[in-house]
Amino acid sequence: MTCQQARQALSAGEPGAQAHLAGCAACRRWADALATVTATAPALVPPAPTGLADRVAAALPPAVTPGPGGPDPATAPGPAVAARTGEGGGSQPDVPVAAAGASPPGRWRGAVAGLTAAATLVAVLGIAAVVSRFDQPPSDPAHVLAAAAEGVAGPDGVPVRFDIEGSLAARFPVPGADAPALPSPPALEGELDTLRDELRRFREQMERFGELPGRLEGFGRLDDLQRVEERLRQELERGLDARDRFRRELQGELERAAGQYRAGIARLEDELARLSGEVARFAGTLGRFDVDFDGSGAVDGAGRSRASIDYRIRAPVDDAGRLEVVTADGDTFVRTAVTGGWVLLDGPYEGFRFGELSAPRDLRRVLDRLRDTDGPVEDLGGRSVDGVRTRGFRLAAGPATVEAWVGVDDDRLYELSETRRIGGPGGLEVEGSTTFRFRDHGAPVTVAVPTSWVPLSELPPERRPPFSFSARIDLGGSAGIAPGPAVPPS
Amino acid sequence: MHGNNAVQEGGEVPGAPPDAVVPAVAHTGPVDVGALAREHAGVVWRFATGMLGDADAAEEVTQDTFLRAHRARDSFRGEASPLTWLLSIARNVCVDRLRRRSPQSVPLDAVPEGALRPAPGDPAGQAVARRVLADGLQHLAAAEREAFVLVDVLGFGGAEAARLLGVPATTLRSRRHRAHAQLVEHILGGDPR
Repeated sequence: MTCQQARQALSAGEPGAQAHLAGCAACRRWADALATVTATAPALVPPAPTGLADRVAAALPPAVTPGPGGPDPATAPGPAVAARTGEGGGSQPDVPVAAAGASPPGRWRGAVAGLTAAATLVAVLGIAAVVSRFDQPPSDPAHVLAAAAEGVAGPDGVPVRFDIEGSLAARFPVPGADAPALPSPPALEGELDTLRDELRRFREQMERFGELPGRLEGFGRLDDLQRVEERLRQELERGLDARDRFRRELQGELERAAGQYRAGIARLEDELARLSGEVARFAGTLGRFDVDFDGSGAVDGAGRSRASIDYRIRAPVDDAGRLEVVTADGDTFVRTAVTGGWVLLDGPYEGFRFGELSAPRDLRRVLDRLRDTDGPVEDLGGRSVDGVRTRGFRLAAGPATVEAWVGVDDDRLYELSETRRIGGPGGLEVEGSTTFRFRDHGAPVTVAVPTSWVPLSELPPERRPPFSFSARIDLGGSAGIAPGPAVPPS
Repeated sequence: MHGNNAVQEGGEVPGAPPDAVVPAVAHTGPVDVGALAREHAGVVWRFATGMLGDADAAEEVTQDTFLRAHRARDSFRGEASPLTWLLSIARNVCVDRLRRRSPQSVPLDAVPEGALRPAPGDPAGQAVARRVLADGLQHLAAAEREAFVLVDVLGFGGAEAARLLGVPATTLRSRRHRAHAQLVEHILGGDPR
């Protein structure tokens, strides 16, 4: 058996190498080292962090068809969405993602989740505004809408599919103009706090490493053994040599570790300084967000809906360089680049379920609940929607303007769009528009509308919407500020 | 040490071909990914940590793995155990990350001259060995690293690991041997004689 064959057998845990080992010192040494490798391997990776499984499970989008033990959205108590708007850097929902706020991607994850939630809110409110007009006298154009509602909404729902598209634009006051100074975005402040904590932890670890060499001095008691037992002197010398060698190795290891920690601290300090600059620049130049989205979805027979939405978020930044925000998913979950003074976020968002945001209800009960809603109805005339002749009506409901396009021949609702402007504290303005196009109507379905709104922070994790964006800003290595091509804002 | 089946779900069939694995779950409908996350997130995280050497990145990989599993839950047929299915997804996520990762800019520190062979009950020596091996692990090629992590770190059997990686058992054996040889060389300070 050759050395190579013996080592392969040892590696595979197979017998047969013993005879070779008996006559080959190099392979015995190799086998000893392999034993260290295999004995140490299971401990190379620590146990999973506490709470990991719950965090992962909580971040999953809920299934339309609930699994065993999962909540049934048709019967689960209470709707589940709310968007906080206007806190510092814009609309920012509570995001149940494990690392939110703990690392640089937190701000983008929060921004995407918040803006998507706001867009959803706008869309759902649009439905509510339209169905509120269905219960009008027959002479009113809303009578036509009521007929359209009967065409798409009823107690015995069947599946219907819809497309959705829209936009959302948020405006922030810009410091230095007429507006008051904008506070630092809370998400970025959180990143700074995280880095400061990390820096403090590194320093504490360094201090602990610094104590170790002193403790090793206790090994010096071994020297006394030389005087006690002379006949063991040679053996002791060998042992002491091994001890000294080990001490030197460990000392070198500690010094290298300390060097790495020092380098890490220096890098963190650099990043802190740079991030502080980014915070200032972000706060000083970000004056608006624009969001475009489109997608499609379906409502099942029980009134539960699900949609897949592509989004694109743009915001200006005062930097002509290029900042790569590395995606955490090979499916281009989030891809971001700051080029020519604009930041782009685009990618698909799946698992968006309107049924989770509302409680399915019989449309009659919805109409009863919304009958007090009031406002004029304007006849917009006729137009074709996906090849179907329709007639349009426009409603003004509070800050929202809603348009509904109803089939001339079948009185079914084919298109529903809504534009809404929302003001927030700190001068924030959000203007959004959403359009639903319904298709494949077969029979009445249940239209779901919200019955109440609750803050996300008051919901248990399993009831929160599935915001699971995962992005990462890599501030080291190849990422960072570097020249790049300009992309003009659209 | 080699190939214990501590985390296996699908067992090997006695008398059947070596690669035959019984699906752990007779599956008829969409899989409950939330329940799988509660049961297997830890193993997926340990696999990703071994592959990437970064606990934070491993948590993101774990999140991504279960998100992808959620999207693909209708396609799960129960032909492999759920854990094998999840680790296959995690492996793809890790490979994507490794491809995007820029080359290591910091060279590995030289291992102290001589072997690191800590005696049992020598926690300091074992800690040093773990550190040296963890460094060495991150310098293995991805194919060898995943073979080592699955079998030596996580305790998968050879047949299950080969099935998970989609390679013959002989290929897995070769990859493990190359991994062992490089790690041994690493421990011996570049002197594998």
